[in-house]
Amino acid sequence: MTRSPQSRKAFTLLEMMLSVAVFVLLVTSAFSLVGATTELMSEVSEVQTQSAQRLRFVEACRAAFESLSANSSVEFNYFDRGGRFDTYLSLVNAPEAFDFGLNLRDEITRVVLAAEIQPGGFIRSGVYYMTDLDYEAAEKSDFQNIEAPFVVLIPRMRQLTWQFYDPQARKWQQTLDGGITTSLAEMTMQVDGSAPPLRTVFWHIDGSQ
Amino acid sequence: MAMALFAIAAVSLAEALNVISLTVTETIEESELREQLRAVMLEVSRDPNVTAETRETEANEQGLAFRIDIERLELDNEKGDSLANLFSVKVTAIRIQSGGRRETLDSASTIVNPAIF
Repeated sequence: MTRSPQSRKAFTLLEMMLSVAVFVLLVTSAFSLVGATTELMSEVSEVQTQSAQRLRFVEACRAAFESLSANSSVEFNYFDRGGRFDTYLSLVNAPEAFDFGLNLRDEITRVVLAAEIQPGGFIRSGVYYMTDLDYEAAEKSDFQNIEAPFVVLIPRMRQLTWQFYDPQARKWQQTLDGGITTSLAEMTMQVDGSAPPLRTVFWHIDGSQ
Repeated sequence: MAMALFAIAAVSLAEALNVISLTVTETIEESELREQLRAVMLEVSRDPNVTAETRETEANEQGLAFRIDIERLELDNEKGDSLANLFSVKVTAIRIQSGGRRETLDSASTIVNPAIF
């Protein structure tokens, strides 16, 4: 018994081409969706990490300022490094400031928050734990050869600047020159260009007043 | 049918991810807004020369400005003695849109005695 050619069941070439086209469309869509999803999640994760880093830095600074006592004081040094400035904010007699286990030694009298210009133009922020002798030696070399334990907080920043509120003049000053005594310090920081600079203010007890 | 199911699943997934991203961004913006609000509040409330006034800071690059309302408070304690030199400080964060529309984002308030600081 033979079947006539008309009754044989099979896909035509057109049907096959159509199904292959649909399959290709589905696979392409799936791949592009997965790609876009991965990229989006990666960007979200990056933004989250950077924000957390900024806020952790601010919290560490706030905790350091809040740890100051009536015996403590704040000093500010800055040095011109070819048009840009390295800044060093010293918290004097503040044993609990930036306490990562390095400033437990009694002879550490200064915890110095440094913002140093790096060769690539970025700023490296970190903390030096200095004895009086370390500080004297650092001052003599304009803070270029500091022999003291150092902890990097953020290795690459675009901006880390300080201002200090002068209650007499009722305005913010860029330095503590001229014997300004203040208990308000303003910090503006920017880790990279993707987020705007973050301004924050710290209040502290100033033992020098 | 398969195409329709796939399209619905794909759109739902993309929508879900979009919502997650927006939530993350909003959370970050909120935490940074709170940080800035705290900064302005500290700046105003810890100023030893605080006086009664209402003013607004200039809007920054993101259109964020802060309205500062300081009022002198006249309060008595339980014995009826006047509590002098007290101020009520309120800081309100405002987003100023490009068309001039103002949106209040958040606010914080406190009572200060400037002599303490």
